[in-house]
Amino acid sequence: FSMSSASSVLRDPTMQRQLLAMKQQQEFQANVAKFTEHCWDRCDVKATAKMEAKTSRCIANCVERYLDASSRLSADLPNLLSRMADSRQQAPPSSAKTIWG
Amino acid sequence: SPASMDSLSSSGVGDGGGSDSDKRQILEQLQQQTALNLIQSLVNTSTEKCFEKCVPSPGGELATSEQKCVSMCLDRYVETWNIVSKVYGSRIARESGGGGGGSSGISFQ
Repeated sequence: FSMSSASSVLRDPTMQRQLLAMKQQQEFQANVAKFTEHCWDRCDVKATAKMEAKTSRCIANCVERYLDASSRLSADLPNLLSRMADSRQQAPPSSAKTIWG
Repeated sequence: SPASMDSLSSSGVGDGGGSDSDKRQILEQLQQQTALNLIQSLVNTSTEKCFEKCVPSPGGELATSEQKCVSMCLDRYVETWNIVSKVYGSRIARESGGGGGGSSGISFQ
């Protein structure tokens, strides 16, 4: 098994499409895992035989509101970044050069 | 079982290295590994959460009530997972104009 045949497998566009799709799926699942853990705690899900309606509503709201907050934050990000650049012109700490320089 | 290195040296049609079945095999193995990692993550997290919830004072052994609690807890955790998966999947589909790739969630029955 040579390195050239390995790289040609990876260069195959169909392969790349599949790998990208798998990567996206993996990201989706990682987020589901994260939200599940977070909302389990937030909504105080009980270890009962049946889940209460208010709990399942809470979980759904938990996910939706998290995503809303995340969108909100992303929308505000350009503004935030430009404000960070402004403060750099005033008195750049030496560590700023490492990040932005 | 891992693909034999010998079979990976056969050339496919047109692309100079790796047959279509080799590529399928690689993708299948990746898919399997991903699914395994996912189950692992689910087991680890739910064990932690359910231990917290059901066994507040670990004793000499797990009481019957504690065992029942853990069992129900796992069911509720998986149910939570499924709700999250559905809500998140729908949201993505909505935000990508309804087309997307459909729900790419794995649901546990």
